[in-house]
Amino acid sequence: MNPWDEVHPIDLSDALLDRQILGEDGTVVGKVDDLDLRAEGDTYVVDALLVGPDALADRINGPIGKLLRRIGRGFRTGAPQRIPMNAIRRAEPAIVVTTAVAHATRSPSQEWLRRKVIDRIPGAGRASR
Amino acid sequence: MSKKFLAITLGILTAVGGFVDIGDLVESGVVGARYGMALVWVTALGVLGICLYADMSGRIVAVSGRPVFDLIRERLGPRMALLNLVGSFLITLLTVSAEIGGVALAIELASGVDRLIWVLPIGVLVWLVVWKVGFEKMETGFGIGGLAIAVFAVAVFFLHPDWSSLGAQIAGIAPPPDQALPTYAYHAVALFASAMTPYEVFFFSSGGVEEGWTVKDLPVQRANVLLGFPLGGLLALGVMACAAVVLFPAGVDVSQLSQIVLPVTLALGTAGLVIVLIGIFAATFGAALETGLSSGYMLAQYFGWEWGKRRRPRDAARFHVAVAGGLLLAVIVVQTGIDPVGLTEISLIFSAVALPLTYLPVLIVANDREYLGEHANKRFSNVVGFAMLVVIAVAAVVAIPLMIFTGAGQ
Amino acid sequence: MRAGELLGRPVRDGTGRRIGAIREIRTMATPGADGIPQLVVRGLVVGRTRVRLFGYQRHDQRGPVPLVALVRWLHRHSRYVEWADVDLSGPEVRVRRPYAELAPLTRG
Repeated sequence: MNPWDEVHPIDLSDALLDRQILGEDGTVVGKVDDLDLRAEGDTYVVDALLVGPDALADRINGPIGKLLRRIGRGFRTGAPQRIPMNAIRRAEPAIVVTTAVAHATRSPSQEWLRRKVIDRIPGAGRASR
Repeated sequence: MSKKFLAITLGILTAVGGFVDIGDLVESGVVGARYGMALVWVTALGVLGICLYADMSGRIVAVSGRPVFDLIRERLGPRMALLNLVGSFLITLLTVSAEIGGVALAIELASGVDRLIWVLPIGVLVWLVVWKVGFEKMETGFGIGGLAIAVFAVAVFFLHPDWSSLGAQIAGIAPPPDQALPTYAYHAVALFASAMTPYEVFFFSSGGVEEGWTVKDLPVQRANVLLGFPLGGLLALGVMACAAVVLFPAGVDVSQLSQIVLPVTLALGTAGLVIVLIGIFAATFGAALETGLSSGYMLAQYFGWEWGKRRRPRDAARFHVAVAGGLLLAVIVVQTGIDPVGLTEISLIFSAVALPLTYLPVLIVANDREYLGEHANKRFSNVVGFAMLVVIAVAAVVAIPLMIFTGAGQ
Repeated sequence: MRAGELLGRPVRDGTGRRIGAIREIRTMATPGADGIPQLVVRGLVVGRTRVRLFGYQRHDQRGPVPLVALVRWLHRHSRYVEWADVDLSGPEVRVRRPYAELAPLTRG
């Protein structure tokens, strides 16, 4: 259950940040918008993946980051969602997490737009073939 | 039609949208009328470039499932990728407007009814295709419909041109003596940027995901690239040659779609005109779909949303809202009466500036064994790919100064 | 603490000289107390250039040759700092050693 080898160093910007997160069943979860680090002894350990525009906006900072957060709030995005590290199954190169965790990670903006706009249009429940 | 042929319609539609959409139809016509065939080398260079980079992005999708804007965010980081997103999104939206205007123009030429009447119905129709029609049906219908543009190439033969003089123009490369070099360079950059517009690789790689490519589909992917894009280039050359044979000797300065169609009517009469209008309709409509969807693809892939026609709209709510919102904006822009042809000219030059931010990450990831393993770039792709990146960088640097200096190629 | 808070923060070396900003956080996958592997921070890459490493620090990211050379050249002043030498206690990130003692980047 170890997605990474223990021989080579893992650089966080390179191997984790900004990668796509998927569920094992193919559910699209989001991007690794930031990482939560937990202090352990005299160093830090990666504790969780953070998903959501708020976490992304914090990394962009400055007026553009602020604007991004404002736009996100307009679409009802909430606080960043946390995905614990032990939910990760593979890095291939998308980060694949367990189906249960993928389904539990909500996207408030998606749900809001679905309710307010998309579900009111006929045919919203049918993929185009 | 065999199944084998249908499998390459993604490449054909992408290339039709890239090479003979409304902006390129006009740009090819303008260039042919002004320089004869002296700029053929640019189209050839553009075909080579887009083939290389579409192949890299297609390979990455087939092996790893990751489309181009995923790579951009991952390799450039959130800030630079956001800069690319904003730039590419605006350019693509401008192009959507131009294509919708182009479809309206084609209908105006056919019906004589003013183009502004048609804008809103076209916008709704594009959205309906996005909402309802399956990806593969869409690419087959509009990709193959767009091939009707080949009537330009047919017309060239019926115009009985002086082949040796056309050949001399191609080999001459330099502009005719009465034309200024900066303007020539401006048109060269615009033509190159149009061959390599970023939405082509966004659409092509996302289309690969929509079609569910895997390693087994690598031959399909390669066939799409090697047949689709050169075919698109040939279609554009047909338009250019028609203008070079009829309009160039007459010294006509092209500014309208009707002038570009003229040589076909001269050569093939009303039948030719009908076919050409069908071709332009399909190509611009296909390009409107390609750019409209691409604007949604890039946003979704930057932010990590669910996207695509293969999913139910309610599962990809943000993607569908983004595409529909983009189409609405585009309709409003065209409805103001802005000339769609002028619009694409400007968007082409700005897209030249944004090119390196898209193609650099593709080249890097195409060399990443974590992504591609044994399918990583070989020597040829790397040598020519890097040389092309240098050309892209040069085009990006000179684009805006040339536009200002030449007054947008006047 | 978030990774995003570390990345981009300016760094001074033991002599007080500005030596760039944090560009990368290097970890190793190490089994934790419960046997489940976790990513433990081992050090930082500090560099002056804002241009990213693009993955060229990894052995499986290769070519094209001129691009590798360009990125390596841009990062010629970049250094790897062991986590034990990093001092986060002040308002600015300090490295406990002088710049000259730090290791240049090698491919992992």
